[in-house]
Amino acid sequence: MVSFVLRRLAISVVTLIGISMALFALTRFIPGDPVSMYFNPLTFEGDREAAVEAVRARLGLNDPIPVQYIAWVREIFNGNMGFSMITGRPVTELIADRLPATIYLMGVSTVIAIVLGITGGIIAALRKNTIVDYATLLGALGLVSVPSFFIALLAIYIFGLKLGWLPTAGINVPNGGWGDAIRHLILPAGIMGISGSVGYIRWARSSMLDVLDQDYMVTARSKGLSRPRVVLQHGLRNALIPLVTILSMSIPSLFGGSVVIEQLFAWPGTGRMAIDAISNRDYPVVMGFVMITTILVLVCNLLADITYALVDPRIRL
Amino acid sequence: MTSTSETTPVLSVRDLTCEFSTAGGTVRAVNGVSFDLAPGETLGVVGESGSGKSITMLAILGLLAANGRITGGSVTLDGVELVGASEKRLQSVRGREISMIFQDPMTALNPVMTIAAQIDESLKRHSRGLDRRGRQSRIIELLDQVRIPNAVRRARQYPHEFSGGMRQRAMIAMAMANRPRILLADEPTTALDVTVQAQILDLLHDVQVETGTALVMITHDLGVIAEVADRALVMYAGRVVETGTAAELFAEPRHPYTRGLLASRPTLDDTDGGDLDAIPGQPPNPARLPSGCSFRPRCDLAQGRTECAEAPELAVLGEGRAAACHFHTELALSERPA
Repeated sequence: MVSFVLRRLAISVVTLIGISMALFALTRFIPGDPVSMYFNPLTFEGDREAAVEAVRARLGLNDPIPVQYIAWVREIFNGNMGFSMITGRPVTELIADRLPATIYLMGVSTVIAIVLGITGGIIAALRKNTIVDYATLLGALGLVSVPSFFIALLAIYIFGLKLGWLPTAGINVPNGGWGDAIRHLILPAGIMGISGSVGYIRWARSSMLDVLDQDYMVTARSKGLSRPRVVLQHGLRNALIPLVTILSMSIPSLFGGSVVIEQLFAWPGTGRMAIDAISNRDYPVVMGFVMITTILVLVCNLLADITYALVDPRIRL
Repeated sequence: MTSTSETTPVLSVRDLTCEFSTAGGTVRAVNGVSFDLAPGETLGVVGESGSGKSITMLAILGLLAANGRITGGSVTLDGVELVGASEKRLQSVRGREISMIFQDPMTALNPVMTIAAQIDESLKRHSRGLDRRGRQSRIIELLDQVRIPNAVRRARQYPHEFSGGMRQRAMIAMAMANRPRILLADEPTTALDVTVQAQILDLLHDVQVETGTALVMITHDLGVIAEVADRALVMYAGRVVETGTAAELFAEPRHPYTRGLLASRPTLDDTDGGDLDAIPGQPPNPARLPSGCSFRPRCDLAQGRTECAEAPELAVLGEGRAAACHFHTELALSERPA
C-alpha cells in the first residue's frame, strides 16, 4: 500500500511536469499578448511600440520560452506562482480567494450526482423492465441529450425570473446566514449534480443488474436475510467496485462543467477567473489555474485507486 | 428405508409444480414432484442437468428467480405449509430450519466480505441469543467442525484467499451455523477436484452424524448416491421417475432411465473394453417436452409402443419403492437372474 502510493505520487509528479511544460508552451503560442492590453491603441499617446517593448522586456517575455519556463519553475519552488499581468495581484492569492468556492460547489454537486445516480440506478435495476425502469432511463437519456448550460438557462428563467423562488447569481449575500447560502447553492449545484448523475444512473443500473444475477445473492437470500439487507450489503458493495473507476474518470469533466455553470450563475470560483484570464492572455493566472486543476485531478485519481482497493479486498496495492 | 413409515417426516413435498415464464413461453421445470424426508436421513436426488433437481430445492425455500413461481402442490415443514407463506415467514425458515449449499463455492460466497462476516450474518439473523463474543466463538467452532485449519486466522480472510475445497468447507460451516434440521446440498462436489470431492462428502457425512440434520444431496453422480444416500429419487424432465433405497436402485432399477444411468457409468472391471453405454439423445428441452412419456424418444423399451403416448403414473412397487414406467415389470423380469 505505502509503496503503491509512493509509486503513484512519483508518476503524478512526472505527469504534472509534463502538463506544465505543454501548457506553458501552448499559452505562449496563443495569438495575442497581455502587454498590448495595457496600452489601449485608441487612447494611448506617445510611442506605443516602445512602451509595449519596454514592458515585455521587464516581464521577461522576450526571453526564449524554455528560459521563461525555468524561471517560472524556480519561482514555484519559492512558493511564488507569479503575479497577474492585469491586476498585479499574486496568483497564489487569487487562487486562494477563488478555489474554496469552486471546491464547495463541486463537492456538493458531486455528492448530489453520486447519491442520485446510485439510487436511481439501483431502483431501475431492481424494477428492471417496468415503467419505473423505463422512466428512469428515458429521463437520463433526455438529460444527457441537453447541454447543462441550456438546463441552467431554463432553470434561471423558471425558478429565478418567473417564480422568483431562488437567487440566480452569486454565492450569498452579506450576513445572509446558512439559509441564504443554501438557497444560492440549490440551482448551480442541483443542475451540476443532476447532469452529473445521468452517467452514473446508467452505470449503476448495469453494474447492479450484473450483481443481482450472481450466485452469492442467492446464498445471501438462502441465509434468511431481509431483502434490503441482501440488496445493500451484498449487492451494493459489489456493484460499487466498477463505479469507483467511473467516478474517478468523471472528475475532470466536472471541472469543465463547473467553468460553464460558474459563469452562468456568477459564482465567484476559479472557473470565471480562468475564463477572464484566458481572454486576457494573463499567463501566470492561466498557469496557476491549470496547475491547481491538474493537482486536484491527480489527487482524485489516487484517492480513487485507494478506494478501489478498500472496497475490493481482491485488489492488492 | 422402512423407518420412513414409522417416523413423521420433517419435510414433505407433494405434487410440487414450478413454472418459468420465458421469451419462448411458459416452461414447466418441475412437474408434480413428491417426496418425504425423515429426520436425520440422507436423500439423494439424481438426474441430468435441467431435470428440475435444483429448481425443486430452490422452490422449497421460496428462492425461485423472479420469472419463476410455484404453480401447484405443497411443501410442509413439520406440517406447516411453506408454499404461499409470507416472505417474512420464509426468511425465518431459511438458514435456520433449512440451509442450502451450492454447487460452485467460487461464486457462491460474497467476494467482498470476510468468511467470518458471512457466517456472522446468519448467526446475527437467527441466533439472537448470542452476543458478539458468543457469535465469535461459534464461528471458530464451526470452522473447526468443518476442519478448516487455523480457524482464527482463516476466519478473517476473504473467499479469494481460500481454495475451492476450503471455500466449500466454509460454505458448509455457514449453512450449519444455526444447526438447521435440513441441509439441501446442490451438487456440492461438482465444481471441485476429484481428490477434494471425497473429502467434502466425508465431511458432510460427519457433520450430519454430529448434528443429526437431514440431508438432501442433489447430484448427477450415481457414485455419490451409492456412497452417502439412504434413499434416492431419480428425476427426469421435471418428474420423479423412480424412488427406492440406493441399494434397490443399483440392484434392480425399474425405470429404463435409471438403468441407462447405471449402464453409462464407467467401471474399472469393464470387460468389453469399449465405449461407455451412454443414453442416446439429449435431455429434453423443458420448453418442448415430448408428448406422453418424456423419456420416450431416448428409451430402448418404448420402440413405438402405443402405451408410451401417455405419460406413466408413478406406480408404487413397495415400501418407498416407485417407478414411472409402463413396463416396470418387464424391467423387473429382465433384471432377475435366470
